[in-house]
Amino acid sequence: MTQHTQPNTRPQVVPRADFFRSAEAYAMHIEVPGVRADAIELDFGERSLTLEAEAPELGVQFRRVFRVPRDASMDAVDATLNHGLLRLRVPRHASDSGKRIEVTAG
Amino acid sequence: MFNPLWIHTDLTRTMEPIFEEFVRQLSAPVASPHRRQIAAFKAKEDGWEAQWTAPGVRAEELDIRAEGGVLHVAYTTAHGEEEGLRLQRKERRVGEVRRKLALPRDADPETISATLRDGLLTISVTALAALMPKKIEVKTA
Repeated sequence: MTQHTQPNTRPQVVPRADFFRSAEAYAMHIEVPGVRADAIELDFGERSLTLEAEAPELGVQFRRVFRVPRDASMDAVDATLNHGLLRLRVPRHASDSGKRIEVTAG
Repeated sequence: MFNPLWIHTDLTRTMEPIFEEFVRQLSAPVASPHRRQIAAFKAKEDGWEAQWTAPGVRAEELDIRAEGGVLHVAYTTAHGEEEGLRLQRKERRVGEVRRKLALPRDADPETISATLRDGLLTISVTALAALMPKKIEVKTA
């Protein structure tokens, strides 16, 4: 493996993710293998979420900028890292325009 | 040099949509941690090591066995679930993974060990003891 002493010289990789949603919440499962919880940085912008994570053993940095929906309550984001998979879940706050009622099968 | 064929790109300026209301073509390439990832043993100080990514996989889901100089690794991955939510877009590559790795000729199969940490699988094997450099102690008369 190429050794980089400075983390920011590592090649950047866009991690794959799965995206979930319902009328109440959004969620993502992002693949960040080789990353420890303390090596993850989540930066919340006005309408964006930037993920940066160092995977030193792979010699890469995961980086992806997500656009955040207007109704996502980013102050209530729930993040957990499990076996190289980062799970983010965020509730949606009530939209002021046209309420949509989702019917779920019982 | 080990390189799991990541796509190296500068994505500093990349913005992309996440949810349904923003669905459009991805503007950036996405890394393929599983596809065409070639796992092979590379030489280490006292043996060999092979490493690849298996995000979301738990140790008990891995089936690793050595047979006739070949190492077989098998596991199955699946999309996760979120209570009450619908899986909207799938980028993760999931399914059955089966890999065969030829063990280095001088490797001692008895020493094979596997470590799974943070979705990164590392398989190590050391050289046969008979082939390891041996230090000879000199006795004084």
